Amino acid sequence: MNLSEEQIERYSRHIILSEVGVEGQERILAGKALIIGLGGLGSPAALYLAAAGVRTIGLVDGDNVELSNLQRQVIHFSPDVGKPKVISAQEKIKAINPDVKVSTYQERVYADNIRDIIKEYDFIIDGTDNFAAKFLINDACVLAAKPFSHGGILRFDGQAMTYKPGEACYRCVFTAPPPKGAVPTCSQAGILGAVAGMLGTIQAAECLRFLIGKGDLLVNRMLIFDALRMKFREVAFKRNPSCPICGKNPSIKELRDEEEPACDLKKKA
Amino acid sequence: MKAYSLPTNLGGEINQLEELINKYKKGAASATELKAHRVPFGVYEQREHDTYMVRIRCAAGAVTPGQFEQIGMIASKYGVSDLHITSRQELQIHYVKLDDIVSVIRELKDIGLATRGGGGNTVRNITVEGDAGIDPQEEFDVSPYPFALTTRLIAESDSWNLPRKYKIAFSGSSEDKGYATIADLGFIAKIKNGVKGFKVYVAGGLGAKSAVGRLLFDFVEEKEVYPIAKALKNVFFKYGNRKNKHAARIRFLWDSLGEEEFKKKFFEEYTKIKQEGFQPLDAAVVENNFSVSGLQEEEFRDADNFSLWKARFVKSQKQDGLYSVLVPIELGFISCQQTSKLAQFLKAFGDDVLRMARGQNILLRNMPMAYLGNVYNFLGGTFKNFNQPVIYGNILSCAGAATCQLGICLSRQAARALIKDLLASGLDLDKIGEVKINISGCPNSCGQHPAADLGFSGKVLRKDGRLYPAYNVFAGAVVHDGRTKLAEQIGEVPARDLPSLVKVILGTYLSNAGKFKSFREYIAKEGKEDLRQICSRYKDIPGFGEDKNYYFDWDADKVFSLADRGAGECSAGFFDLLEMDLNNIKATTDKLSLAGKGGKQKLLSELVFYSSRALLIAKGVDPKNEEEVYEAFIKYFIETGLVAQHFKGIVAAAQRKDYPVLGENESEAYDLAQAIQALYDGMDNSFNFKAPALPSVVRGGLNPSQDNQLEVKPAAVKDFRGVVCPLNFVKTKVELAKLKSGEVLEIWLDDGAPIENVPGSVKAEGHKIIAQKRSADYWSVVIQKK
Repeated sequence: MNLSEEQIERYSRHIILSEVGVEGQERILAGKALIIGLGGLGSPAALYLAAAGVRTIGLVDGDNVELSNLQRQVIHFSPDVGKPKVISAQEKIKAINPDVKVSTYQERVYADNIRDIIKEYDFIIDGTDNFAAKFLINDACVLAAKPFSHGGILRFDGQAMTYKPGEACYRCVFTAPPPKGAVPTCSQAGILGAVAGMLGTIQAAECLRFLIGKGDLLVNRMLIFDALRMKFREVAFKRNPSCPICGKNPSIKELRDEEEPACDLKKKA
Repeated sequence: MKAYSLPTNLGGEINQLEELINKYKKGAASATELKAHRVPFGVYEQREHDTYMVRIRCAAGAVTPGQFEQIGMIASKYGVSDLHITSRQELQIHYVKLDDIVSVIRELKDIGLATRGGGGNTVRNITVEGDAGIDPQEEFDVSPYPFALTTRLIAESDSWNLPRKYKIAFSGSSEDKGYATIADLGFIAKIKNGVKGFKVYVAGGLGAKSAVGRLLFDFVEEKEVYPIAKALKNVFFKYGNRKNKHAARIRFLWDSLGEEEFKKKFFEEYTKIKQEGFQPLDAAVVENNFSVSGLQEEEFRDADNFSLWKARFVKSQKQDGLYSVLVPIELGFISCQQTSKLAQFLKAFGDDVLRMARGQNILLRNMPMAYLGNVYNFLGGTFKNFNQPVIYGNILSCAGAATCQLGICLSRQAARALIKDLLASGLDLDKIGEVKINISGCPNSCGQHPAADLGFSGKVLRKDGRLYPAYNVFAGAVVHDGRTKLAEQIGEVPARDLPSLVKVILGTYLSNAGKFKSFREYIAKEGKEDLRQICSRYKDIPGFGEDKNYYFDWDADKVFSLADRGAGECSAGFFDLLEMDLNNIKATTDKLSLAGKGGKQKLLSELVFYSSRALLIAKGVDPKNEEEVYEAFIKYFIETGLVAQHFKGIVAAAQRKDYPVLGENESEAYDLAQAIQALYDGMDNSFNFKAPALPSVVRGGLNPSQDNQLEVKPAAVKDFRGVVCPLNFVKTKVELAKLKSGEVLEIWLDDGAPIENVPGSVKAEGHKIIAQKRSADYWSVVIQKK
């Protein structure tokens, strides 16, 4: 690949980094990333991936933009209210970087469509807001041997981890979704908009570092932060031999949908 | 009247520009490539992203009412509400979108106007004051020459690729209203033994280093205009400085070659052109007569104001019964609606009735006496301020820091504040008469402050460590054949107090008005001294806590700061700030020579402090406290090798306030001060330093055995001169990525920040610098890939 003059200028601050350089930028320019959920996490992640020049960005979301989304879902603007989120996000990505190819999937992920959606991509970002989707994404990625970044946020708290085939998965840590009602949903508990930005950006950085192959990903460890006190900590873990999906004798052999979404943030009033 | 004719290749050149813009939009051409083509086409990018300014060539400031109307319509069609009249008598359309540029240029071409040469290193608009041909004082009408010379020069392809801009001006009389004595090439009309001809000046111009034109010919016949303009263009093309655009104008060439050599080279070209033969200019006479069609004479509406207006703006022409009328346009901004109304009104009067005046106003000409009532009534209904005292239209400013990358102060906003204040001041402005007040936002003279009765150029001052916007105050320019003199710097004034200072000096003049014929005469005789004293009243400004207004520029919503200006983007205005600390160094050194032992140590610490701070601004650093001063100095000057390593000790001692150590190393502190002065002396206008005593070849010390085999053949040689930091490093990396390990790349870099930064960055990535050589004013660096 030969970088054009414009690409050299556009990506100059990446190319300067010795860890990225020409080679790393070329990898980004060849990369394919899928973002599931264009809410608080997916919005900033999509913006940064687009700006970085990721060749293909897949966008999955079945919802339309609502006024209450705009407080944190920064890829959507006021005139977008009512528009499908994937379309709104696609427009912004094109505006930031016309070179990026965007594929849109205006649907939610379910056990029967997720395999086909993820198979094209090098890296998946989980920007969903409910446990059912999070476990489904984990299971699908483990079965298809696709790396993905998990992220979760509530109030002022955030957590992130990255799965790479062969390493600990989300179910190694959390075997199953929490009982209904045990964890409050975002609409009950609220969320500081910037916390979504912090975490979505961490996920974008995981994806970019995966593409360039440099640094230590959040593999086998969970990064947890409390933005009210602005404290970060890490919890290390290992692959769980009795994990129901990646353990020695997995009980989950094919995908299934978990119970109804635990987060009803988007429930129409 | 036909001002100038378009060259036949213009259409083809527009097609090329269109192709390039399309390539750019697809990502196949870079912004830099596009810039290199659009700027000579008179298309500048504005600060607001994806909007452009298109500058229209108006030779001698002339357009016909029909063209004027069309320009307004083209602007409106592409969503623009105002036109701007420049101080070089052109019209500008602002806020044009990238997609519309070519359409705008094509539609202008259809009405006989070109934008080619509106910017960049080209033959620029050829000017003459708007009253050429009608001024009773002139020798003869010179406007045919700018028209014909424009037609000729814009058809020559080398007019678009000069080392820097080339400005030509004409004047009809010794009064030099066209500023021929401060142009790259200036012609002043003379008649000798009944033959029309010109006195010719060269190598003048306004800028960061302004110069009065030097006499080239006392008299030449008018047919020599073309060979002279062409010969000077050839000399400039061949010998001009293409590397440093800050020292490239013809006046710098004159200085670097010396008068004798410059003239020798000029006459070589001139003789050659004359020997080879040339087509003389087709300088057809412009008729100034009146032809009113389809318009009923009107009575003016109110006698008192009509007389006042006539006294202010109406002048009788050399043609009996015809008059010129100046329409003052505030800072040159005219709405498309006004443009269209004015054009429609003027159509009844013929073609040659409209010229852009150099003061960014509009001059109507060839108006018959009987129709002055119509003119008065029309202007009253269309231009709100058409009958203000003349000083209103005589205030000129550049665009200033709001849109200009080099700007320091918001000069246009200051001009607006001044206009508002003056009109509300209660001063008898009509009694003041003609006063040229010119405001530049920085020392580059785009606001023409060196040619003003009262001029201002933006600068930065510091109070208690805080920066605030201010202006240098100039006065007393004379522009006249043989007597031209640039305005003299009198003092300085905080930006906040600029309007107040102008009111005070004008008031002082009014109270002495009986003694002098004009404000100009007052300034020449007594005014400068008064002004000097008035400036001193504004010396002390309140602290930030007492009155924050002084720390905000006019109309700014943020405290004044240099924070968003990087090194290299700095403009000449920062010299003042540098010099302030150099003066501090000198004053402290003087005090040290008198001080007893006890006071010495503290003074030494101050000396090291001023020395450390003096040049930081050139690196784009604006330290907030003493600690940051030392840190930045070590980072940008000691660690980069601009200042010797051993000074780190004395700087560290000052940082710790370690008085005993300072006392023991007194001479080291003096040496540091001297090193700083030496660096400053060697600094160029772009704030590049010459590293002290650089050997001509610096070999990378990593592998001495390679010294003998320096003649490694590079796999590639790349010229990164003119590529800014850090893009030059990025491009170096891109080139290195194409090579195999062990292969060699040679790159060329500019002096200054590039040579200070790129080799270090390359080394930090593990590559080897085999050689680093200085040739003329750039560097060759040879790199071996790791």
